[in-house]
Amino acid sequence: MTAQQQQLKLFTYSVIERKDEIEEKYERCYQTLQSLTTGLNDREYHDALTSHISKDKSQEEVISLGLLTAVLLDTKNADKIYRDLTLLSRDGLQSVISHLQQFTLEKWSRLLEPPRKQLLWLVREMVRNNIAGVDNLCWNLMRNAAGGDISTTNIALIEYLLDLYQDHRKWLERFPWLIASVVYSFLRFIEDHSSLIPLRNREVAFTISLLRDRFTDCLVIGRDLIRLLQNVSRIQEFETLWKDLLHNPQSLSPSLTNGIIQILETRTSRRFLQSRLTPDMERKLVFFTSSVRFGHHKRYQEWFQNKYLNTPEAQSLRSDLIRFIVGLIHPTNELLCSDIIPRWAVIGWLITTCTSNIALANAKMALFYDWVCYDPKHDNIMNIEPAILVMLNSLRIHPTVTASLLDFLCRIIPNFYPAQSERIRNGIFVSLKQILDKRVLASLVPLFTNPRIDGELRAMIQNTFREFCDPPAVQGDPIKNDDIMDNLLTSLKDELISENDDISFSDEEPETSPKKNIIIENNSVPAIKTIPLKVKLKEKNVLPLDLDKEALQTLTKELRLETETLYFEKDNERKCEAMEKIVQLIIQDDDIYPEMLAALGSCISCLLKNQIEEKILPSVLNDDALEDSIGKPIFVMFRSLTQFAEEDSRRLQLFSLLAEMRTHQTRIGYLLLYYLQVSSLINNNADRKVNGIKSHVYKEFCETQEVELNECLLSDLQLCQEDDTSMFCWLIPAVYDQFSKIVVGNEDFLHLVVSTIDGSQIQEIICLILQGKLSMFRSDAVPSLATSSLDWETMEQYFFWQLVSAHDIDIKVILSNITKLDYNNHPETLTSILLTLKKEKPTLDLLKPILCREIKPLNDQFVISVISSWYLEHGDNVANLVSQLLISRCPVVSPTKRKRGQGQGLGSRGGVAPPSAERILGHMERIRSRGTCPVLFRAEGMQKALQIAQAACTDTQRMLFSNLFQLLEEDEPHTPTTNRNSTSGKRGRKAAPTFGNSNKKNAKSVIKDLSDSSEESSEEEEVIKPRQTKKRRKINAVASESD
Amino acid sequence: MMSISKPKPINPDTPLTLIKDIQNNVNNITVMCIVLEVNPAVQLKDNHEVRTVKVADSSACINFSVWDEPGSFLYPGDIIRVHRAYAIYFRNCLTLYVGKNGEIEKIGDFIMTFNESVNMSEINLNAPPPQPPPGSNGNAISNARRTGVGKQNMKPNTFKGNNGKSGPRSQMRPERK
Repeated sequence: MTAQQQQLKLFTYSVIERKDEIEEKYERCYQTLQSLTTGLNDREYHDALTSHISKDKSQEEVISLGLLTAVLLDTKNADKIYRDLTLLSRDGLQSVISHLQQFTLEKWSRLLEPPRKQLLWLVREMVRNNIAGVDNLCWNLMRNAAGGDISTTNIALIEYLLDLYQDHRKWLERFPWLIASVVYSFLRFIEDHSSLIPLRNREVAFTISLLRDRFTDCLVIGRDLIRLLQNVSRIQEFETLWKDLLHNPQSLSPSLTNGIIQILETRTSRRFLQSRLTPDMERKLVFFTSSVRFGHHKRYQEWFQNKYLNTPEAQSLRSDLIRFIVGLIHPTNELLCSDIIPRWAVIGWLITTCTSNIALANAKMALFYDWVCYDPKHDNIMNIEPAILVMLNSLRIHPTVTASLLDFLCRIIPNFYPAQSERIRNGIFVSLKQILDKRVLASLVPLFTNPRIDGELRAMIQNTFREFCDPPAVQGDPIKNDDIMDNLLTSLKDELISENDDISFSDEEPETSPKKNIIIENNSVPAIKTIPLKVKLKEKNVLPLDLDKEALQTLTKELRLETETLYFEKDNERKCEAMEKIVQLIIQDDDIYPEMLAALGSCISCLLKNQIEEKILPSVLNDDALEDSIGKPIFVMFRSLTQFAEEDSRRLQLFSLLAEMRTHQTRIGYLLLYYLQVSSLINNNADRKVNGIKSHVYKEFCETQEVELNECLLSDLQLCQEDDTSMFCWLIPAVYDQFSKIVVGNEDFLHLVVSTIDGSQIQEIICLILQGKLSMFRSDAVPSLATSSLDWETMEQYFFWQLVSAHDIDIKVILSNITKLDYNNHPETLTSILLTLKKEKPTLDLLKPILCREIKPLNDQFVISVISSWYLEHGDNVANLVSQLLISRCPVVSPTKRKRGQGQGLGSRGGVAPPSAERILGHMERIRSRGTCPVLFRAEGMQKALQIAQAACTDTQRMLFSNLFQLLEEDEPHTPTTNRNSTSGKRGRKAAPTFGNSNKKNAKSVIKDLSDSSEESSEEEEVIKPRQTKKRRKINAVASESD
Repeated sequence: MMSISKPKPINPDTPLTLIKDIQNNVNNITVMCIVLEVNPAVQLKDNHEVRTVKVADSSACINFSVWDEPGSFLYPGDIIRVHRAYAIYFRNCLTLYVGKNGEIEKIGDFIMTFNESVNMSEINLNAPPPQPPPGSNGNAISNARRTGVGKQNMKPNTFKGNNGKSGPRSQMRPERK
């Protein structure tokens, strides 16, 4: 068994790693195979497997996986097992290949040495047998041969690949793209292997022969072929190749009519850039640039560096990484706006941590490589954007990086390709222009003339890039005079708009604010400039980057033109006309496709983004300003909606369009609300009918989206509240008015309101409530709202209670919950109720629920405070009420009815019913011990009530409240200590039942609640118990007399 | 049957506890986190060593005290799952431990976001006293190092917890019920 255990080892594990599912699966398949075949001879073996497979199709994979595992594990019999595998496979080994892909992409680094060797052997066999798909497998395998890594395992893999391709050159030549990949990879290996001369010589010979024979195939690589060839150009064979490339390019490939420039103009296909990162590096880098927040990136950089960049030979990997980032990692606009680490920061890190000069120069070259022959038609702005941003953003912290990059940029113009320096200069200038046109930067002046850069370099930049250093550049076509003003205006306007555009590049430092600069310059130097011209060009051509171009293409020509007008047209009137036209087009076309609507929705919401996102609510709220605020194209669409009759089916198209737009632009929802409210205000303040119809528009809007009205409304308001609180507050009264069924008394909406508003806004709302213009809840909803409000923030609760008091809610409604509120956990609510109560006149109805509150916890001062404050205000009135209540709760009942006589009121748990006498006494006792209103107890009624209560007490209770009863006036014949005996003497014959459950347990709990009596309690209980029955009779007597 | 012998399988589906939700005396939780720092091992007598490892997940970070062998396999950037973990205060810092029969499992590296700004192990001067009263309180590490107190009953210890016996762990921190 142990022998077999050894055998079955595919992957390495540290102590804290576990076998994963993939390996377990292989293991299972292998075991199935073993169990089927142990002890069989060759013939039986084959038959057994064939019959097993034919029985069940799912077993096919099991067996082929089992055999694959066997090949990887069993060195000796691999030959034979591979033969079985090919014989049994019915898919030409395709499933095996796909499993091997998984090995090479995900598991390579974990594979143990022996299985790894077997895997390589298997690939070689498959190449030899010309199995389909093995070319792809080789490409994946080649990715695992890392750049910048001369460890033995890596070198062994490279040597293996070299042998494989050399031995099977014929096979290789059948796959032109693989040839290009091999050339690309080996050019990199050659660069790394300067210390491994024998290997390097073989690599050079092989690569050169591939290049010379198959140069046309290699052209698909694109400009990075030249970059790698430059890096190895000192090797003699490559020097010769370079000569041919420079002077006789067509000898290499007849299609190379324009020589090196032709290659440099070809954008490198992503596949090659990707191929130089191992799958693991790629995963990490992609994660790093898509999920790690800027400011939290240090550790990831450290980990990545420790794993891949720490050796001296790994320096060359930096260029590969930079090329990968520049060419493959193209973040979406959303990501650009987020706080995820920007690409320039990653590249800046790779450059600043580079320690070798050669590698550093290569890294800079890699960063600028798409600049040298940039062509806006074929190249992507995202490929040149990182370099400019690295320079701009390094200015403050790493000015030397910026300086060295700028220096590099200046120098490559004459030195990169001296014979074609004009072409290179043109490429770089086009890049810079593109950067300005696409608004990566609004101006290069702050970068090119920055004082942090030393004078000499600045002079060189000035020389090289004069037209970018000098906003009022002198070149350009003269413009007719009457265009000047117009152009200046557009350019200014454009600068303003650009503030919005620029948000997409979140990394611009506030310190360098190029936009402002250029505005000033345009103002101060109103000469004839080229800038306005450029701006115009831009406007004609450039749609926003995040626009779904495909969607735009699906539109009919007419729609597309109008949609584009929405964006390009400067004049608002014209825009609105375009929108109207769009609306017309939609409603005229009865069977417009849903896809078309979807595309249109996406385009419109993208093109009108700036408009939708800007602040719409005017700062001064008068009719004119409000009317102006809905003068935008988006509102034109809303207007059309409201103008249709309700049963007109054509509006459904518009609703679907709106619903589409809402999926792209969630703001649409509350803007619709806003529009409806503004238009109803303006049209006819008093006409309720109009309002009714209009809220109907919103309802239908929700229906089209298949969302519940209340959910839709809530989420729209939530969003509105996040975007623009003042608009939110402005909308609240309208929403409460028009959607009263849903909103009034609704907890979620109420919470949204109180969580958002500030002091002045609550004031406004309360004013509206007091004027009767707004009602947010009715009194029946208050108890449940109050209960839910317990979880809210303190401020929110206070706002809520202010709203409650503004609403004139009957205090009794509020008090219905009073027993459930906890002094320590619900301070806001209790305080608010307390303050409300203070203003009320004490009545029996108010007193009852209050006294029903439990007597614990000890620090609970609620009841004490209410009674005391009333006492201070209303004097004996309170005493009378309390005593009245107390007396009513000390009922006189015949002895037979004792315990249950008075229903639930007798229990010590109060509930909504009147409080038990015991509880009242408990509260009184606490008031007494607090000493807040001593005179209260002297009131006549109180004295009487206490007497009655005392008489009705059990012994336990009497002990409990002894301090209270002590307050009975002197002329009373007993003292608490003697009352057990003496009361009976003076009074009574009739029985008054005990109140409360007088069993011992309950008494105990009450005792514990009362701090003052606690000392006596334990002793007392023992005393009381034996006497209880006897006692009761005597008490009964007392009570009777009081009648 | 393959590679190394593993303890009885731990259900991988046990719900994860976020680090921010870890409180004093929580027990038997599963935490998935990324290793941020591995501090040098502190050698105890009797061939035990303990490392304080700072780990984090998307919600917060916390100190994790790792005993013996597994600690030497942990590197910054490793993503681990800690099974049957518990947390208590150690020297006023909330600290995560592998519980009895618990286990550390490495499941990947690098590809996980974390939040370092919330540190659950920040010193809390109002921390409750260690559970079992004097003798086995939280100062034992320094005691053990300075005076060798506690070495007598230290026993060889596997990384999976100390099987409920009074190993060093009971010297270092209170045993869990």
